[in-house]
Amino acid sequence: MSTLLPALLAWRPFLDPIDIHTGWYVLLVPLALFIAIAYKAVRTKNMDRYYREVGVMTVQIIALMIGLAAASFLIVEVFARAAE
Amino acid sequence: MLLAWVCPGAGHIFLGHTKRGAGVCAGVLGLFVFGLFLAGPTAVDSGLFFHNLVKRWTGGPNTTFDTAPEGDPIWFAGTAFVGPIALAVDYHHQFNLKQPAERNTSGGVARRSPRPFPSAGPDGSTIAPAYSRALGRVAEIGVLSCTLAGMLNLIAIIDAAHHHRAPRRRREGGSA
Repeated sequence: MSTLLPALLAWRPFLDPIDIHTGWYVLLVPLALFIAIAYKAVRTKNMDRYYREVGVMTVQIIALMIGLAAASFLIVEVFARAAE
Repeated sequence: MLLAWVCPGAGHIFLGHTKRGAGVCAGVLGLFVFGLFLAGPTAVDSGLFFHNLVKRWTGGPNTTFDTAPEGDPIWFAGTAFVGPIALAVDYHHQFNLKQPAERNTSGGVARRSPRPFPSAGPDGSTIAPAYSRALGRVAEIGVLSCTLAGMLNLIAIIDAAHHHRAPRRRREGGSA
């Protein structure tokens, strides 16, 4: 906290970047949510199911990204190392 | 189509699809503001490429060009679809936040982001830099977020061009 406080006090929103370099993967959640909000507003046929479809698409994006990360990890760390 | 570019979602709202328009507006502007919030002005940086393109067409043979070598014109091409707000943010970034650094080969000035530490003012006080340039993952995700906002608005613009005006709702029990 003692190291975080000066950084927070000096931080100016929209002028300085957020210091979230260690937990950057958390940013996938709002990114996926905003993409789903905009995309489903265009593609949904029945707007009564809009919020449900936004939720489903957000979860789908996050799950697919986790799956892709796991697949990449397996290829690089397991299969490529085994082939060496 | 023009309305949809000027304000994301306005094309759908004009056609009577208010809820769709509100969704597009929230999603596109949400992504754009999220990118700016993450990375600051670094997320929107044309590097004066398009500014110089217009200058090249309209200027004479002795026109000088200011340059901004740190810019990302390809990513900005996607971000520009967010609308005039993206152009305004980029203009503010290039001409108010970046500083003239050195002369370039065309006789203009190369504009660069300020050094990331406070400088001393004329009266001895410390002056904070106009902004800090984002680096690493935060910069990547900020730029990605703003460009995705532009690409999603492009989908919305195309969709608004193919949509018909929504039929007005009939009053219950009344005649059409």
